[in-house]
Amino acid sequence: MQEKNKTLAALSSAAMLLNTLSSSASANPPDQKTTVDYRYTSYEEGALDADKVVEGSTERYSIDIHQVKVKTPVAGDTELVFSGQFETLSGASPWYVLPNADGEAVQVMTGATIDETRAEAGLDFRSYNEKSESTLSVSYSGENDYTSFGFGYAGQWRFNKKTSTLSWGVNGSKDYIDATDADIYPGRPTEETKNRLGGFVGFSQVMSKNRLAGVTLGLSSLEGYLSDAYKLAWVNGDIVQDSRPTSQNNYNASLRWREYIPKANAALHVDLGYYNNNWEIASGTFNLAWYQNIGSSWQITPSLRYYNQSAAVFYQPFYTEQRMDGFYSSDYRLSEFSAISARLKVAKTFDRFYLNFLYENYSASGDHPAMLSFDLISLGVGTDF
Amino acid sequence: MNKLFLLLIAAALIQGCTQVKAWERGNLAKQEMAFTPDPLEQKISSHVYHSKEASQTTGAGAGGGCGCN
Repeated sequence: MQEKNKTLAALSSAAMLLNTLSSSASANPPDQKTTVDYRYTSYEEGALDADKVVEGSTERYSIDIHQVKVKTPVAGDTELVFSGQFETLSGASPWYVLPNADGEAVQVMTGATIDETRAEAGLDFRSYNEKSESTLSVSYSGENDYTSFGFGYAGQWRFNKKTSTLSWGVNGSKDYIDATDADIYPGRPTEETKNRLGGFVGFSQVMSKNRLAGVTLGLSSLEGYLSDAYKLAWVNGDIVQDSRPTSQNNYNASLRWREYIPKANAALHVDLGYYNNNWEIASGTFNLAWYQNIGSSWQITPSLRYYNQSAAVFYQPFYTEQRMDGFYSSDYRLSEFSAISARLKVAKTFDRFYLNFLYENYSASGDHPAMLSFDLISLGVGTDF
Repeated sequence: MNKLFLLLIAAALIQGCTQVKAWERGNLAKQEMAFTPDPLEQKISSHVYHSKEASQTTGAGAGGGCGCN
């Protein structure tokens, strides 16, 4: 952020360096500065093909997102991070799928445009010492029909002359679901809950003066209402409420590789992720990014992401027979699909603040008639003092 | 995909590590070498992907929300 001090800061923090495997903690010691970051993001889903929609709007969701993060020192070895997020959402949503006269799956969208808001607040308390650190987190997310309370603990231990870092943590949430218009749509849930408990362990290693790699293993367990309150399924001519198992076990692994290329004044990021759950969904994610520095204050970052997942064992676009287990979901998010995302970020650093601009185009392909595409534009700004 | 993933993990683990002195870590300390260079951007990306794809990965921190529709 402050270019003049960048080299000095980098060198002084280098001894403490090991980047975290988490997204909410940092391996660098508290810098005794207050930092303020703000980001505005516009997310807009692409319209569906008219020939795939039999009823309702082809227009989908658009979301405006405001984020703010304030970090402030509490003492020499502790700091507090407040983060807030506010979203306004509007648009139509995939409702259910039915077969047309040719037996092909066609989408029914929600009729009216839905307008809603979501507010999120989080607080992280980080305590640091030379060889280890701990972060405690709490969060709240509120919508008119969904409330979530979360907590988290993450720890790190640096050893082997601080070239190796072991990370670990647990986190969980308690969610309350109270669907709107339940009096009009009797199948919709009210006063339902969902519990989530997860944990992870990670290891990262400085491999050379230009190379860093890390692996993370995570698992989580969900119990309670895991269906989508607003989706339906077509079962042999009848329309039934989306109904999924009341428990889910998730497992994930990731590998992250960072390579600095001095001749190019650039850094290469390679991230691989694997995930599976006991609904028989397995997925793989491949991320590639190139951070190109231009001069001392500009940076351009093109990146690509490829994602592929298999379908849930009970998923069908529509059902011609009843299932023995009573589980029905035609949610495109449980279908088999792959997605490609291309991103470009341009960042400029000034003496006392930074600016960056991000564009992303995401496109999914699969057999479901409501496959997702979206464009995302984001502008970030921040300063410290 | 799984085999590729395992191969790359194995490659990472068997790759020889050289001892890097503290004063040699200037490049490693650059922001673009962080696992998460921009946490706010990462938070938006994770939230979008988690609400539009089936994967529910576990990392550090707390957070939630429906992510329906």
